[in-house]
Formats: sequence, C-alpha cells, structure tokens
Amino acid sequence: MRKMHALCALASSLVLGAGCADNSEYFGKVSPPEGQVFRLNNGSEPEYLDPQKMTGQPDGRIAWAMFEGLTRYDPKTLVPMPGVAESWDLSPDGKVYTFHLRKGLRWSNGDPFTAQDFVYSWRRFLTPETAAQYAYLLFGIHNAEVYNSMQLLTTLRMEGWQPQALNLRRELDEDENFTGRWIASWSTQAPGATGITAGSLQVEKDGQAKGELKGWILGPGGPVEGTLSLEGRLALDAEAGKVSGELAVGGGPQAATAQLEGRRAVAEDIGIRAVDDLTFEVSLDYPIQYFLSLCAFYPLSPVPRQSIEKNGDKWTELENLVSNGAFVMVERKIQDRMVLIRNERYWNAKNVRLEKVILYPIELYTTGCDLYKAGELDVEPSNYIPQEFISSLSTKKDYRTASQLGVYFYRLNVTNPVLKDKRVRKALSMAVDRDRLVKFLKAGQPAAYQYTPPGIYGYDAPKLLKYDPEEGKRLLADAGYPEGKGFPTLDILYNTTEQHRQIAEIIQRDWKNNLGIDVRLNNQEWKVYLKSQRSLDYQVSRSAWIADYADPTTFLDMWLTGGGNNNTGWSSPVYDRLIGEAAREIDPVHRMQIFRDAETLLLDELPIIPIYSYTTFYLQKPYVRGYYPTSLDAHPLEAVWIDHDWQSHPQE
Amino acid sequence: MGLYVLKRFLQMIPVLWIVATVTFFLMRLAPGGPFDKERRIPPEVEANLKKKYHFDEPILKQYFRYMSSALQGDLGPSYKYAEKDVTDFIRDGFPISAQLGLMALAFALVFGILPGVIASLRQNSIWDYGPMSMAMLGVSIPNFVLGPLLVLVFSMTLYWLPPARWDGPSYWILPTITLGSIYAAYIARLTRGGMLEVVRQDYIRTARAKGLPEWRILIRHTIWGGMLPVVSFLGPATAHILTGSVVVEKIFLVPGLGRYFIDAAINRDYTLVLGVVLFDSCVLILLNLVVDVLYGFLDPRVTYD
Repeated sequence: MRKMHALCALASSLVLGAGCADNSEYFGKVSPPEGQVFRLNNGSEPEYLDPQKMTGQPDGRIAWAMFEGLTRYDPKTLVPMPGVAESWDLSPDGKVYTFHLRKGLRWSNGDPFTAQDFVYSWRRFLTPETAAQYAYLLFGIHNAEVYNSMQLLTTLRMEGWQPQALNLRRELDEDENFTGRWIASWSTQAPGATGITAGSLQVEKDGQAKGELKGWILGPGGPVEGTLSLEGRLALDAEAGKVSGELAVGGGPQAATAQLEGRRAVAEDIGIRAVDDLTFEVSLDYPIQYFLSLCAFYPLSPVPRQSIEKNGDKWTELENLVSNGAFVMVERKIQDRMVLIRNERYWNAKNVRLEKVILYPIELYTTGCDLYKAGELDVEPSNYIPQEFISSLSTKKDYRTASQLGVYFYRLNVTNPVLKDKRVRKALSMAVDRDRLVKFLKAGQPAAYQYTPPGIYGYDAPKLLKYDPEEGKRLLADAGYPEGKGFPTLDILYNTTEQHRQIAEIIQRDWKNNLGIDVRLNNQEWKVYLKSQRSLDYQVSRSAWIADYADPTTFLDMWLTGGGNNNTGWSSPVYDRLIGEAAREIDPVHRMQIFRDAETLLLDELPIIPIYSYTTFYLQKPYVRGYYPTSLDAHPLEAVWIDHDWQSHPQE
Repeated sequence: MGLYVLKRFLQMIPVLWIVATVTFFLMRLAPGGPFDKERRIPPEVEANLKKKYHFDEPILKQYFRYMSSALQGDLGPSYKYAEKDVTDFIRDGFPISAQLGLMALAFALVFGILPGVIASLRQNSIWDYGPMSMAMLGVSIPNFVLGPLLVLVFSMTLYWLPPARWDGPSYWILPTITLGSIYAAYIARLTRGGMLEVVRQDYIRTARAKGLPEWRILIRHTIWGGMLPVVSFLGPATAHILTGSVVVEKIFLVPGLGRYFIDAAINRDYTLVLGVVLFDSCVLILLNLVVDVLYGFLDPRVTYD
C-alpha cells in the first residue's frame, strides 16, 4: 500500500509537473482572498492541541498561534522579544531569572492571567504523568529532572559530618529495563573543606543497601583522604515514594551510623515560584545562555488551569479550549481544517492584522501544490514541496528559500567490529562527494563539512571534513583493508522515502568507487526503523536532526554518553567533560570556544557522518506580507497580513 | 425469510469476534509500538505512560479489557491522537465516506447499466463496441492515474473545479468520477453479459410469442434478470466503495474513513485500527446480507432455507 502511495504521488507529480511548465512569473493564481484571511497548509493532522504534549511541527504552528509564552520570536530574526513578560532581570551568577508580567493580561475566556499560571503550567509540564516529550528542555531548573524522572530526594545524616543530599533513581539495564535496584551518586562542591566530597549508594529490591563515601576523614594525624563504606538495610516503598533507615559507616576512626531519609520529589520542589501575581521567578542549577529563546518555544506555553482541572484530557475540545495567544480556535474538523480567529483579549490584538487563519492538514505534497496553484492556499510551507518540482519552481517569484538549522547525517554503529576503528569511519566520511550530492538535491542545501549547521549566532563550527578519496583509501589500508579487500558488506538503513533511497544510492556508489567496498541498502518502515536505531540493530543509518532552539547544545548534547538520542554506542568522557564545562560557563565567547573544542573532537572521532545542512524552501503568494524565512522555520502568524494592494509594490 | 435474516445476524457475532481477536494479536506482531518516537523520554516517564494505557499488563488481560469495553461501545482513545476517541473518528469520517461512496455508486450504476443495456440490445454495433471499449479503458486505468489526470485537466488547466478537499458540490465531482468509473466499467460489462444471457431465455421468447411490446418485455422481465450478476457484484463492491477508497480519499483530501486503514497501522495506533476494522467488517457483512436478500427479490427461483 505504501507502494500505492508512491505510485500515486509519482503519477500525480508527473502530471502536475507537466502542468508546471507554464511561463508566468508566479506559480498559479495570485488573487488574494477577501479580507484578512490567511490559508496555510499545515502538513498533517495535529496529534495534540495541548502544547505541553506535542512535538510535531504541525502541532507547534497551532500552539504558537494560540498560546504565548514569557517571550516570543521576532518574526524576522527570531530574537526573543517580550511576550507575556514585558521585562526581566537576571542575577549576576546567571542562575535566577525574574520575569515581570504585563498588567491586565487575560485568557481568551476573560479569566485573569497571573504568574501562578506559569507556576501551574511548568509544574504540569514536568509532571511525569503528562509525559511531555520536551520536558528535558527545562531540566536546567533546580529539581526539574529529579521530579520528572520520579527520583527520591534523600538526606544522609551522620554525627559530625555535613548532611549529604542525594537523589535515588531507578537503575536501568542495557535493554533499558528497570533492574529493581535504586542507585545514587553525588558530589559536593566544597573544594578545600574537610568532609565528604563524593558518594554512591545502591539499594536492592529487598532494601539491602551498600555504598561508599569519599572525602577527608579525621584520622589520628589530622584529616586524610579516604573512603568510608556504608552498609545496612533500608525500608524502601517505591509506590509511596519513601525511603528510610540506618546505615553502618565503616572505615573511619570509630564506628558510626548514618540516618537516611527520603521522599519522592514533588512539584513544589521545582525551582519556580510566583513572587506575586505579576512576578515569576526561575532558579536554574547553572546559567543557560539560550534560556530566553527557550521561553518562546511552544512547549513552554502557559496552559489554562481552570479548563484542565474541570475537563481533564478533554480540555482541548473546542468548547473547553482556552488560550492566551493571538488567535483562538473556533472550528475543527478532523483531517479537514482548523479555523482560528483573532483573539480580541490578546494584549497585542490591535497589532494583529489577520482576522482569520485557516489551517488545512494536507499530507500529500503534490496535492498541497495543486491547491496553492489553484489559489486555495496562500503559503505552501517548507519542505512540503516534492523534490521533482524544485527546479521548475525555483524560477518563480513566489519561491523562497533560506538556510535552516537542521543537519542530515549518517549514524555509525561504533560497537560494530569494523566500525569500531576510527580510521574506517574517517575513510567513509572522506569518500563521500558531498558537493556532487547536494547538486543532485537541487534545493540549495549546503554540503556539511562540519556537524552543527551554520546560522547559530556567535557559533562558527569548525569545518574539518573534506572530500579526499586518496586519503580515505590510505586510511582504509592502514586499518587492514587495502583496496577494500576483506571489508564486509555494509548495510545502510533508512526509513522508506524516495529521497533517502536516492541519497543512499549515491553514497553507495561513492564508497564503491572510492574505497572498493560493497554496500547493501536496507529500508524499513518508520517505527521499525526507529526501533532498529535505538537498539543498535544497524551498521550505518540515515538520520537527521532539527534544532529545537538556536544554540549549539541542541546539536551537541545528543552525543553525550548514554544520551537518549545518541544511538551510536559512542562514548567519550572528554567530550562529556567539555559539554559539562560549557554548560557552566558564563562568558558567552569562551562558551562557544568550548563548543568548538567539543565539535572538533566529535569530527575527529566521527560516530556520525554529516552530509548536508537543511534549507527551507516554500511558496508564498506575493500578497502575503510579514511571513519571513527563518532558520528555525518559525513564522509568527501575528505578524502576517494580506496586502490587497501588492501589485503596486511587488517587491518585499 | 425473516428467519433467514435472523440467522445471518446471529452469524455475524462469531465472525466479528474472530476479526477482532485476529486483528488485536496480529497488530502487536509488527515491531514498534505506538509510543516509539524520535525523541526519548526518561524511562520512568515512559513506564508511566505504558501503565496508563495498560501496556504493562499481560497481553491476555489487555485483550479482555479491550473486548469488554468494546462490547459496551467504548472503542477507546486513539493512541496517536490521544485527545480524541476512536468513535470520534468513525462518527466524523463515516458519513463522508458514505456520501462519497453512494455518489460513486450512483454514478457507477447510471453510467454502467445504461450503456450495458444499450450495448446488449444493439449487439455488435457501434453502440456495443463504443461503450465496451470505454469500459475496457475504465477497468485498465487505475484510480491513482485517473484522479490526477482529471485534476490536471479540470483544476490546474481549466480552473473549472477545485483540485482537492470536500467543501461543497463542486468538490464532489472529481472524486466521485474517479472512484466510480472502475465500477461503472465493470457494471457495464456485467449488465451487457447478463442481459445477453437473459434475452436468450425461454421465458423471454414466451413473452414475445404472447405479443407483448418489446419495451414492456425489457422493463418487466429482461432487465431484472440481467441485473443478477450486477447485484452479486454490488455487494462487496459497495462495501469497498463505502469504506472509502484509500487512494481517492488521499488524492482528493476527502476527510473520510478510508485513510485510517493504512495510516493507523503505520502509526501502530492499535485502537484506531481495531475500531476501523471492526466497523468495516460490520458494514461489509450487513451489505452482503442486503445483497443476498435483494437477490431473492430479483430472482424468483431463489429460495431461503
């Protein structure tokens, strides 16, 4: 049936392609709709209308239209501007933000909007039951991760020592199943002080506990560095989230005992609070340079407490939906359309020119282009344009393109015996002719000679990759496979899409011609492919990553040891350390330098082969104003308007 | 005959039960689940999510839980569109698929029976070869070629009709033709064949011998006999039209039920798949029943026991 769709798309694209060969300046009709109405192809039917649960771009567009966070994006530059918060202060250590909300804010149903709404919303966002996929974005807030992953906040007290704070979490085995054991490890940053500097603890299912404490112990000749052991039995109630008991402390000058007590973290432990109705305070564990930008990202939107408490999961039904942004939803027909109108209670409503926005979930790219051509859509957004049309469409005036913060790359399973060798990985990377590949793609994508795509303000990724088949051959020979002899057939895994197959074929040919190795192509359906990648059941796998926000961490954090999105088996303590250092660095210039160092290491080790950076390409009718190409592909709808007089000044 | 109908209704129950059971277990054989997403959530949160949807229970328990709520009419929430229930999708999608289906059926009947009858009456003439060649074309051109072709001509070049969506009468035309033409073609050929067979029958000769006018024979006798192959074809065909040609709905963005057969399976949306499959099975069985009963009315030789 998938083939049916492919054939279907092919047939209609051939047919439309023929119809494309007209010579007008613009693609299709250019008469605007009546009034200030904007019609957009929204891709697919949204999975959620709840901004905290969603992750897809179609869902995100709707959330951005209906909700507004502390900050919002400037429509052209994406610089964070005041949103719900009209100003903010930052503490000198960069860890405490104090947001001052505008006066007189209201929800779309008239209810007053206060700082408590943010406290409620962010607590709900981090609540485990909400299962928000983007919850990790707020893990910089004090106790946010602890609460979200249901850890136990515990204190260890011993006479004569400072109390130790530790977080017990469930242990996972290699297959990501819970072993039944709880573990904790911690360090106290008190350089030069006497006392405990680090510790670890394991608690078995039956409560049997064992651990150790490292630090300075008072000996007969003064403090000396040593290790104390902990042992005992604890009462651990996982369901109720409680732990308590006594542990024997051994290895010290005399026998001692420690009291341990803990409970599951609760929402009130998170470092956010409403100082008063108009002041919202956030306490971070370490400075986050891009925090203000993050606050504009839709999962961090406020959600209406009254409606949620009354209606539970059904709060997103049309009759219960309450929002605080520029638009409210007035109609929703599944798989057909969603209609939004201007929210007159929005604080900036007088500057929103659009009266109505209609979003259509159109999944077939060719149909979307058809509707755009027939004048039923005003914008056909990024990447919803079939590959085959790009060369003929790129000559039209309504075709726009910009670079996008995304990268297409191949993951390498470094646990594979052949790919374990760094030289092999480098050889594979050097043998890919990226320039020729992007020419084939035709959408202006730049070849990636670095990993982090260009466009992040202040960050210039080190461009260390190159196309050098001779060097690649040499490296492969060094690794023990001269001319590719003895090298096993490699599998390239990709999810079933025409373009991925074409790219894989090009790379297959490059590797054969330049290195003499054989490659087999293996395509799997999306969910199967995700599972294969996650369980490291692949050798080479096609992948991509699009930025959540404009900072190197969104790309570089992925490769930390055991990172949830790593999926290569690669681990480097040096890399982990660098990323950790950067996280705590206050000076922005120095911080970017640390990232460069980390990426230099990444590009030397090459657990991945970057191939090209993304571009956005879309169609925009000439009468649509206020819709700009941006690197995060975010287009605040409150800035858009229909210019009925566009013909007198077509340039924009 | 009432007994016959009752018997068929009772037979429906075990059939539906088997369909539900097989689908339930077959779905879970496919690797991957509804909660496999590109971004990882903390394992504790994922475990929580699985508990909420009872994925942590043994499979048999999940099965009985589903079956008992299904019997009470609760087909559960969709796993992918977690804010919506499966019944929402069926309630919103079925009337549209049904409307499209009925219009396609009407189109197929009108543009199938008429040419078929005419062809059979004027056998081996231009009135025969003409329509029958068109029918051959209709059968050979798949709907995913016909659809875009119609769109190219009528929407993208002439701008007479909209290319997709379902917003009013002008939107209905192209999808109906695309969906109905194949069935029109089949019906034309079947009608012609059936008519030709009936016309040779003894009882028609008897009617002629009795002096009845030709048109009267046609309307009172020939046509009903000629319809028999069409009616037996119609049963399954109607059900398939009704539950939505997946391709036509996809090409023309018709918000019907057909798309979920594929989309829900790809998303491993177990509850939506089960709901749609069960619904489709019900419709199919009922329509087949209607056809069988209709058959009895058309052909006096058929009896029920």
